[in-house]
Amino acid sequence: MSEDNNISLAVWDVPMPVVAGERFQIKAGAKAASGGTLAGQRIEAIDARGAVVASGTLGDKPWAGTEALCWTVIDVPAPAAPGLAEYSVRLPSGQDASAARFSVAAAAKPEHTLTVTITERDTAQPLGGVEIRLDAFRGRTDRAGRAEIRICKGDYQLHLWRSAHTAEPRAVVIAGDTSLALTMLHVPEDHPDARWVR
Amino acid sequence: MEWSLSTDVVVIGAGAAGLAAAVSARDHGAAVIVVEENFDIGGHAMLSGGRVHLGGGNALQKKLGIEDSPDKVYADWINFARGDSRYNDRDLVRTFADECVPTFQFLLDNGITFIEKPIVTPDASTVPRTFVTHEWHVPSEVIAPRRNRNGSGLVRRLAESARKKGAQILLKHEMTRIVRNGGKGRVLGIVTRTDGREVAIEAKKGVIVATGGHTGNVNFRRMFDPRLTEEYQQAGMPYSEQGADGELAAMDIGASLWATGTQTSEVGPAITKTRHMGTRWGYISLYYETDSPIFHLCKATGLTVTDWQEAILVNQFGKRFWNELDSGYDYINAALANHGDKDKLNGGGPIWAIFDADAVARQKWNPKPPNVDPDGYFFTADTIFELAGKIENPHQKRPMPAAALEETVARYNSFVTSGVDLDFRKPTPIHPIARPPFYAAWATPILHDTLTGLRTDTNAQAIDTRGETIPGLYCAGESQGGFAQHGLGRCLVFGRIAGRHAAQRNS
Repeated sequence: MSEDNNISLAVWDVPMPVVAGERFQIKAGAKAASGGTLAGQRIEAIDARGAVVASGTLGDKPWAGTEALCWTVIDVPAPAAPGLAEYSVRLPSGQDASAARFSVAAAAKPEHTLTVTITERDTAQPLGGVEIRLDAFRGRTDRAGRAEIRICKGDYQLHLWRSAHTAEPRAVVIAGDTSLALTMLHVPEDHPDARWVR
Repeated sequence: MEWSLSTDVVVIGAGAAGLAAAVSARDHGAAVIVVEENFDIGGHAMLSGGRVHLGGGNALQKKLGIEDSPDKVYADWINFARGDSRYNDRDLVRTFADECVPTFQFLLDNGITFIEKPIVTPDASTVPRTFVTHEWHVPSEVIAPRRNRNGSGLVRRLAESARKKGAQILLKHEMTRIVRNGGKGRVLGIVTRTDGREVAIEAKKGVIVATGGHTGNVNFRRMFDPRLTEEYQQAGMPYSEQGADGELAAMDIGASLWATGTQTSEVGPAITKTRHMGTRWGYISLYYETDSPIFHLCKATGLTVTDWQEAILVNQFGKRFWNELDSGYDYINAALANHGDKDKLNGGGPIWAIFDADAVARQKWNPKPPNVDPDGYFFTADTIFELAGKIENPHQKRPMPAAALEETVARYNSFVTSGVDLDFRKPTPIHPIARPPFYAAWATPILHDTLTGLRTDTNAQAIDTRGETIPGLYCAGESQGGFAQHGLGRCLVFGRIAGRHAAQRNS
């Protein structure tokens, strides 16, 4: 986007992953620097080859929390095959705006469920808010330390992330519905001055 | 010279070192005047965690069965393998080691109370030596209340003791110069300014510089590290400025600096990442609640970051420059590097944290005043492009290029999709920055420790550039050079020594 554009764009709620060959929904919005409304304007999704693959019409109610970001939901076709793909959204040519880029990871349709429960290693307390990643597949544990992830058959490296906690990545083979009970070690945040003797 | 006031010992600065010096000088029979430029006592120590690092076998160590000795303290703090001990002046460390136990007892004798549980400090010490003072019991007299600023209990109690023992503390008296008799003579006193008038104070026995260091003086701090230009935050502000006025006044009459390499030894919290973003002053362990008596100066509490997966950090040009999860000196050095500013080759310029509405929800931040300061330190926008255009700050010398910030965020989001940060190897980038609204928060690094300063002998007497003692001039605390120890221990030890020695001088 050039520094002179009067309309700027945002794209959010892009699913992770998307199912190859199917369609997925994103939200896209536009804001006029002038503050004027863009309601009713058409907004397009473009694939990496520059082809318009979907479009929507901006609504008149600004996105919650914004001043004047008009938005809509666009139904976009996913790539035909698994892998990473780039898209962008733009207003039709002639508008004083350029494109906003976004990327997706496409995967085959998940056929299995991975159930993960995570506890703190020393206290055995359930850990909520743990981010789980296996390639493009991801989840987040609930307050009971549990997450369900729809996933394809295959070999993965499972990564966990939670602030002030650590766990080594581990190899996971998904051949059917799978349950894993995992632990993370609490590593107290480095205190800037010191820590109490335990 | 016409003196407005006359005393035996003048102490410049009412922080940990200055108050210890005042009490010590009174204990040894001297009349004492303390001058403090601030409206209240305490300096940096008022805002500290109250972590008093004094080992050697002190009373609490003995009570808890912690084996320690002055020799062990000495060995630890001259350890060549560590950056905070390698460059230290062995004479000063030897004196420090020998004076830890009596200084701890001095604090107990003056009413200081400690939590009877040691803490481990990430420094050269090999056994627990640090005990934490109790926070001052009157919340309205704690500058950063309810945030474990236990140093308030140390300085309030020392000030109380100093006054009880007869020391006079003159607040809002800014020292403007130290008066020396001729080029080589004795130091005679100081000149201060208060309410627009000069007050000259004669010191018949000595003047003790305890002004607290130099992080607040851009020109001075750049003598040791030219990168430390004006944009950096300072710990202790907006209460304790550390303006190098003691060092400058002493250097004006011939004093020398000492062990200047310690300032850049890259250990401890001498320079840190911010922890409370979106406010002008966001030092990691210092959080100003809205009932702080100086909140009108702070203007915002800041948003506390416990997980840098929630944001990216960009420079003034809207570009990432390092792995945001790194908080060590590799990160600091990247932040302080020149990022392409052709008009300002030193210093890295402002650093901004960029995040979205999802981060706000996950962290339960409330991105509104008084939590953030929209007057130059926090911005909100509907799009990333718009956000860049909104950033206006005294240190953001030109508009942040909106297209560059947009590209940075799009590229980072692609790393979240792929799981690999191709630019800075942030481990497993987790969260895209995608959901409006978007935020930019001040996250420029923070200067904390003054680790070098005036040269002294082991009696805390200032030494000139020829290696000669300056009669009647002393220095203690963060203005003293030669000992790169973080915190209160060395300040208290050499403050006490300076007060004692000055009081015992012949006038």
